[in-house]
Amino acid sequence: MSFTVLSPAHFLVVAAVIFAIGTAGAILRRNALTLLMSVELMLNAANLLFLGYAREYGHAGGHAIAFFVMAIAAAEAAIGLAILIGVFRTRQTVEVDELDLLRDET
Amino acid sequence: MNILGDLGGLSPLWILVLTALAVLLLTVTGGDKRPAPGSSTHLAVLSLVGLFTAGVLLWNVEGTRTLFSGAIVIDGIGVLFGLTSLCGAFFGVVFAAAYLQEHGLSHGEFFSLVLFAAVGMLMVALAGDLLTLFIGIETMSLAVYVLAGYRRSSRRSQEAALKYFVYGAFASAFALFGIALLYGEVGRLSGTPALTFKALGAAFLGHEVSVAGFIGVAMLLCGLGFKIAAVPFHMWAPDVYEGAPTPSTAFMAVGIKTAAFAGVLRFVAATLIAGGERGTETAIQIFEVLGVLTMVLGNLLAIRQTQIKRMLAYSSIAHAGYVLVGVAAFIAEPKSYAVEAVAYYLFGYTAMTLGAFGVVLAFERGEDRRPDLPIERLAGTGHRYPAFGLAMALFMFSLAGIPPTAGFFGKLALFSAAVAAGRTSVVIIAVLASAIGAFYYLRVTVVMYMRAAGTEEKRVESAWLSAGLWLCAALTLVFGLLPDTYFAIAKRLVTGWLG
Repeated sequence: MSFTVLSPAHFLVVAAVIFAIGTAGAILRRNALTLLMSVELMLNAANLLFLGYAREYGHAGGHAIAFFVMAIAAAEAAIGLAILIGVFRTRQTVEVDELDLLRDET
Repeated sequence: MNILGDLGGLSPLWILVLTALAVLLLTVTGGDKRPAPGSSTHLAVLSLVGLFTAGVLLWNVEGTRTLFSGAIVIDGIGVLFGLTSLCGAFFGVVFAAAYLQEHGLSHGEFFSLVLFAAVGMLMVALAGDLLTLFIGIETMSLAVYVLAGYRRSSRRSQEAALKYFVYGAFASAFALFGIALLYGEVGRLSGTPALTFKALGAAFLGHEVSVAGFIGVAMLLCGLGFKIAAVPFHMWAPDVYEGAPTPSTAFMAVGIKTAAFAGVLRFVAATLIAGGERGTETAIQIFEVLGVLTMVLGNLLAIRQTQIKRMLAYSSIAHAGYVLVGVAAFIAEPKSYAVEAVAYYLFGYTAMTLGAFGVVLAFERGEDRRPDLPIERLAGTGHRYPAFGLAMALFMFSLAGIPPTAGFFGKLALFSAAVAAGRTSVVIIAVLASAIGAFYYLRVTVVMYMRAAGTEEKRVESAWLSAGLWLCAALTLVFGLLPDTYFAIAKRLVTGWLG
């Protein structure tokens, strides 16, 4: 594997690793803020993949998609933080395990 | 590409966006005071007019129109599913008008969020490429996350919003990574990466798809599976449906599911059955297994529920399972009748589910200040409010699949499509599963009519609510008695799409 020429495989591996870190964070961490950060990481991994492929095939579309994704990620973060603030106001915590009013009766 | 002409072609979406902004503006300029009874009627009427106009514009589109280099395709399937989603938004506004007034919540934001979500649903239904599909999914989801948490002071509503958001954002990220993989896969197969369903279909037809491509398909389907609440992506649904304000629940139960199924059909048609060829046995079986798991688990868990909204949540999961059997039949035999059956089922499901939630809403009075509604509390309401009792009985019979309702003919159409595609064994399981379902639906009717009332439950007095319930009941019954009318329209629209 040469380090001077970037191939889609390089992008794919890096993006997959970042995505895996994000997924692991979203599944393992119980703090809603960390969850939000993990999801952002997953979205950015997808962005990296778009850019890598766009570069490889000389296709400008991938760059444009990245901007759309960034805008969506920003909107998502805004809504997510608003919901988090609402939860924090009544419960003084954003640990998702503390949210147990709604569940199946056992 | 003619930009102005393309923008004009998007008129149904523009109308919705402009109406939403107008409603928001009227709310802000109207001051921040709590709405007095009747003071916000004009906002509801304006929203309904906007939704209705968008529906008429969508209905009047002739043939297939491709806009923005294929990013938006207004074709038969888009019109069919888009209209059903708009129908869900329409009743969402009607029921919300009753609910918000009863509970002293502000109206304008709710209506504009419903309208914005409806824009997202239309985008999903009319998506011509995967990016539009993703943006549409996000537009409708972001609005509905807020709708789920609309009762800001209620801990249950907040919890519902946060749970929905966390699961939803995770699923969206999954779907997006899948789209990125498909973008590269189309590039590898055809030389130019692209995201349109057309390019996807051309690349998948007759080429050897790599592992990355299959992972991409699977990841995007996982993301969509979350939106339709199919097992194993259903965990969020009961909690969110129970905690969210009832009109939000009703809207998300029907609108999001319908739009997401339109996305699933388009995506499946482009990848798994590219070029109109029968899908692989593995693909059919995956959908059938998902469908069977979804309907069996949904129905079994619904039996144990004591809260009516939670029971309806599991019921809506089960209904997604039946529709998945129809999607599997479409993969096994890519003909228009399977798509027509799915569309009819979702339309009937929209009418009867909205109606059922409307009746739930009728017994959530603001002054009672109770956070939940156990099924037991409906005891005796059938006799005290005969019209409501009859309507609820109709919706429950329809959900259970008893003739002559839309629910029965929907199941009949779906199961016939599966039998015609040669998938008899899965139909047997589906019929057994719906027999389980009949038990808990009929239990509600039994409680309403045959159980002695412990407390004299009073109902919400609202003209909006009565009108909405009558309309839902009429749709459930009329399309149950005259299913051929719907199928004639659906056949014309879907045949245009399949070509």
